[in-house]
Amino acid sequence: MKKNKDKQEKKNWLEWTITIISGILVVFTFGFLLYQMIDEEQTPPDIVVVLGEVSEKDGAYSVLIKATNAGNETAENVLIEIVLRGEPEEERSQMNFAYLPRKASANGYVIFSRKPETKDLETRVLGYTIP
Amino acid sequence: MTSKKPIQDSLKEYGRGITGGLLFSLPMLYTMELWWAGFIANTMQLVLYFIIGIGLLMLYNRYVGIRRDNAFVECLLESFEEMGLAIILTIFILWITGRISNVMSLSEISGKVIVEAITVAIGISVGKSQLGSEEKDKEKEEEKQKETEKSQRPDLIREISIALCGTILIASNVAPTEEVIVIAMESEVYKIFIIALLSIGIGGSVLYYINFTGTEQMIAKPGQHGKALAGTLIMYAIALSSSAFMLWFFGRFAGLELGGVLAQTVVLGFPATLGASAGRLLIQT
Repeated sequence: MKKNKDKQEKKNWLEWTITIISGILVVFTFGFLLYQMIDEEQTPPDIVVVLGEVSEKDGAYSVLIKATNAGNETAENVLIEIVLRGEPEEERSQMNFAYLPRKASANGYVIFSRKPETKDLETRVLGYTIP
Repeated sequence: MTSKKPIQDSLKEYGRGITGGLLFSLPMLYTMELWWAGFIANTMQLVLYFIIGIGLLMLYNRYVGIRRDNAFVECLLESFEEMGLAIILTIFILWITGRISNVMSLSEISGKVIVEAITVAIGISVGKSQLGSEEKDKEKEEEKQKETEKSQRPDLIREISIALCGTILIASNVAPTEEVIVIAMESEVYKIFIIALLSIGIGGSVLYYINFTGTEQMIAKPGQHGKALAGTLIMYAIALSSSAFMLWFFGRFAGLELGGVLAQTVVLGFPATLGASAGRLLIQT
């Protein structure tokens, strides 16, 4: 029943518009994937840690941590250590990001009990797993 | 004879497609492992999955879809249209649930969207071809309608009971998962508000405007929009209250203030609405 009806009916402007937009979208998506596949070299995760501003709340100091994965593979369970050197004693903090996809970044905060100076802060990527 | 299809008919068809897409794939859109699959999969796997997706759509359209037995080009255009709609719908749903944002790289976003969009596209195709009520024999329907009107007057208790069954059927497999609280906590309040509006809009359209299967007696006639509004509100109230009940049952409200409780209820209320509207119509026909 339906088949016969549809054969008689031409697409109206709305259907044409949606078909054309969809077509462009599908071709673009596919093209982007192909471009990525040809262009991208498989580079292992390359994690860069940048420290951001320090803010104080209730006598504790939090520092913004921004971790970026510059590689083309996803890193999982990224463990980062942040050390605050100096007197009276060294403070150590750790941060864990569950996922850091390729070319993506994630933010977090570490808390210290005394005011950190930028020169006393040291960050190190302890490790990660590959999915 | 060639005639152009009325715009309204196309809109209704798209509405049914979108409802089908959401009905079949919302539990997937609410699944963390699929959010991750998009960036864990490498590009070649995604390309392969995309090609398989388009292939499946073409096969479905060729043998079951609304333009079956038609030329290859038409099948291809139809499949592209459904895939395109699915991509737009997936981006929108992932955006309102806080899964894609402008700090993510394009490759992460495209991976997430492709992994989810294939299922949504197949849902759209099924919705367009299977979930409509045939308009072909109107007379028969009118007869049937008179009969049903005689035998069972619109019974509110019956309607509410079936809606409750539909809600539980569709939303209970999402309710105990962690995704509900993750989305509720991570999405901004205005996005939660959009989810609520979207639920009401889709639920109302399914029940009264897009000729969804099983709605013959309900379709709003001109001048009956008040009735449709009341029905839609009752439907959404059922969806929200059963969502709240399920979340409470699974201990999801423990230690939360009212804002968190409401946000979770609205997030689960989205699949619950599909259950109370589309699901309810499917289980009673």
